[in-house]
Amino acid sequence: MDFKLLFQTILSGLISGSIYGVLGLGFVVTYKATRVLNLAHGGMAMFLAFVALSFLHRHMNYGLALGLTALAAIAMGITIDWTIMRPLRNRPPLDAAVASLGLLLTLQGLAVIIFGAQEKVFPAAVPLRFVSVAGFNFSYPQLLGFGCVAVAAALIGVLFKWTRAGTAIRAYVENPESARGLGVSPFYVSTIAWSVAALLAALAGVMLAPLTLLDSLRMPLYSVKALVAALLGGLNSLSGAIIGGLLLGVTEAYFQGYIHVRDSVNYLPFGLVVLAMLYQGFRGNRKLVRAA
Amino acid sequence: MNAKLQGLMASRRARQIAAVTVAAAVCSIPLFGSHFTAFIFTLGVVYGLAAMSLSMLTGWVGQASLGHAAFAGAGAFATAKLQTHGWPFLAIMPVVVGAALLFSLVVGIPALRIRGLQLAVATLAFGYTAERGVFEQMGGGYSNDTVLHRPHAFGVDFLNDKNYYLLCLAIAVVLTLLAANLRHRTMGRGMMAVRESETVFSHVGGNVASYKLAGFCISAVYAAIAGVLLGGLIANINKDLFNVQFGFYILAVAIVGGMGSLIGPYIAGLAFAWYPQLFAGVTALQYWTYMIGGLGMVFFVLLLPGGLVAIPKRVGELLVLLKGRLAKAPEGEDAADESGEVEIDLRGTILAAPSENGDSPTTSIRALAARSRAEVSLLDGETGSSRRMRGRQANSNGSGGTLLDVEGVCISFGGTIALSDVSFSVQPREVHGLVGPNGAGKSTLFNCVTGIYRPSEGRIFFKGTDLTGLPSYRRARLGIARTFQNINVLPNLTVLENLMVAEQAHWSGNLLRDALGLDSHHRQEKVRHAAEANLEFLGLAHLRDSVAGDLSHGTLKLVELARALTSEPEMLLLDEPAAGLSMQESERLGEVLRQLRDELQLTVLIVEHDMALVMGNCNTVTVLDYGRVIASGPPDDVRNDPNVIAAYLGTIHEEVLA
Repeated sequence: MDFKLLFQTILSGLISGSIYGVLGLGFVVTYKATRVLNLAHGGMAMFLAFVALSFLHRHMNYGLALGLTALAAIAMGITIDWTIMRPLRNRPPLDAAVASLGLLLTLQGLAVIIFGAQEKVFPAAVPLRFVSVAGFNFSYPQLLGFGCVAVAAALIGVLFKWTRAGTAIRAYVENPESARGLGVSPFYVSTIAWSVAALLAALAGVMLAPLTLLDSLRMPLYSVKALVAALLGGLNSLSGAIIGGLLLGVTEAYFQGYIHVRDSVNYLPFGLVVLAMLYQGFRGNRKLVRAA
Repeated sequence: MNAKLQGLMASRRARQIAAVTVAAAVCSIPLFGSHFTAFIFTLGVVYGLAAMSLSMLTGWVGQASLGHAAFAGAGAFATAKLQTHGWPFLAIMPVVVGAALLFSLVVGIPALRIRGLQLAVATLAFGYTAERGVFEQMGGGYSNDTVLHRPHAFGVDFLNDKNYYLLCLAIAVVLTLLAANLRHRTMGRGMMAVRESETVFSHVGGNVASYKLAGFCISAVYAAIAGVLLGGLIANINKDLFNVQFGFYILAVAIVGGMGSLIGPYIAGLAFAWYPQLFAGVTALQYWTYMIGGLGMVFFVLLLPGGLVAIPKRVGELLVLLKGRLAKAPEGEDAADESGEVEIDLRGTILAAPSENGDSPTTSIRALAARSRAEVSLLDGETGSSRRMRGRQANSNGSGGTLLDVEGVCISFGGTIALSDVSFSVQPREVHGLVGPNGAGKSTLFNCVTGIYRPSEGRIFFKGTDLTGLPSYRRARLGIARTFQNINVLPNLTVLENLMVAEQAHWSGNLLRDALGLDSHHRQEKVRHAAEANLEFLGLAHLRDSVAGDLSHGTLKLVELARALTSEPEMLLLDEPAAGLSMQESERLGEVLRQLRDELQLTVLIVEHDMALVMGNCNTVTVLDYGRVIASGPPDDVRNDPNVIAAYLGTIHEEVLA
């Protein structure tokens, strides 16, 4: 067996897996804090990537363009929260999910109407150069991608664990009623959550866009896989989303590299979802037994 | 009053006739229009059928599917594939239905093991895999489409768009009528009960998983048939016709039409098929339709959750509100009367005639209401159901011995021991009180008996049957019914429907029979009568058609009791039935308890803090403290037991002496 090839396969799997992880984090943040299954997350990533691209097309410096995109993301998150999610706060969870699906369709249509139906090339932030470590090649974009994911995951972790906002969110997740009684506003929690989710969407969007062509359908579909990966952690765990994403990325790379059945890789998400559900069902049962 | 009600009925009948006429007129438009009109209408019908499948799934069972395009695609591709092998259209249909059933089981079984939106995610992944994996291989991608030939049967040329339209319309009408049949029968009621509260449904003997799965399977089959019809309409099918996006779009149609409605999706389907014509010549038309569909979805979910079909109802509600605003508050006694009328009016508009029971005159409803308000004489409650129950009871008592045996039950949560080695037994036809300070483990014990918790040690026997490991619904079917400490009803159903769901304890429904409307009528009537008798027994008859969620806490406690009785149990578990009741109501409850025992021959296990009620009506009292049985025996013995007095720190002593 060619270990070098295997290693490279795993590495490329980890790269795409880290993007799944970032997308998955976005799903988890809104689900955890506001109990909303945000099906529009991939659409938000796609739309924000288009926004970033239109800044870049105005010959902006990459950093500035990304900074402005981050602002746009926050604006988008807050707008979604205020106009759609707040009014649906006391309705069954399905309503918010359906509304987010409507938002996805709207964003997809809007992206084409504003930015055109043509597939776009998104320039990479760093040139495709390689560094060699111990005989293995790492590309700059790969290293940058890893760095971004690590930083984002760390920041989210810090936000949830050590900031006042994070404590408020965790308190609210734990017990909404008593958190409200202690002065945590549910609006505050959901605004923070949606802003963070939108920022994560923007990050995933600009990471993913250079790897493929940018159009309005591809990224939302791609994020379906991230959602499935996040499901492995029950949609409730930040680390679960990252681990699930990496796992999915590596498995996909392995399928593509080693299993020569046409389109076999496309059967993965469903296989994974079945696994996730069986696993959760199993864990749920065990929890019940333990509780009993 | 009667005249007014008759007027209401007549106007409802008139409305129905008007609706059918309008529908027939709209449906016949394409026959006089161009072939293109026929095409648009066919598309509308197909969209409508696909959306209706989702409307049933979400509106009835409370589950969502984001991958219904995959079922539609499966139907279409299977048809096209088999046609290339020379299969005739009619022979293919059973295969399509079978394939849809198979796929829906594969997706549904793992997804339904857990609650929440998991089915939505599972179906989304399924849709993805179907689109990118299966359809891509079958459809050959963009280049070479697969052709689905329209059927050629009965000597009719369905290549003619108008003929094909009629075919699609006929199929849609038949499928819709089948669904409508289902809705007001056991299966439909059960599905809606699952949507409202899985706990309640399983505790009246309903199998939650099988109802969810049934709803999902029916929905998938409908979607597959819609897919075949769509394939026949377009003729060239490829993976893009049935991509994940299409599933979203169909969901948008269903939302706009109205979830749970059977007609709304068709109205919305027609609108969705037609409006793109307005954008003729616009580039990237598909994306405009996405945006409009998406905005429609957001708009309707936010502002008109009932969809298009809910508009008349909303307008009606607004009118009633407006009328109430305008009319000066009526004086005195009439005020109550007026409010009663409004309720009936509202019912007329809200419930699209679920029952044809309009013959029961208002006067008798009023009379019952008055009686129950003033002084409920429960003693004349010798009802049909009670007589039936007694007959059954006499049989089961032949065996003798105890009815419920709790043997050494232990259970702990985390580090807290909730029950430790609890043993006691309940004799047939006794009222057995279970008392103890808060946190003594009384409700936990109930939950062990009805199957919410599984004890870590010990066993529970009911009529000699070991209950350990049986799911809640099986226990309910053995004859155990319960009420909950925290109210647990089906809030959006009427009181009568809440009770009728309890039919699950003895009959779990049959999909085909219900859809075809076989045998059901007699049985439905029987269940209805039993439920009505129990309502009357508890003085709730006047609330028969009230929506449960609008009623007060105390009333709902009685509704729960009535529901438990409707399941015709042998043993009733009542969890703090007197909580929140006034002194008089509590006394009345004591009377009811004695009646349940003496007249209906029921065994009652009751958790209660109202010591007067317990000591005055129970044959046996078991006292729990910190998860242990500290005393058990006749009330008089128990109240003098030093352990019990110590457990209550003297409070029970005083209260009992008083």
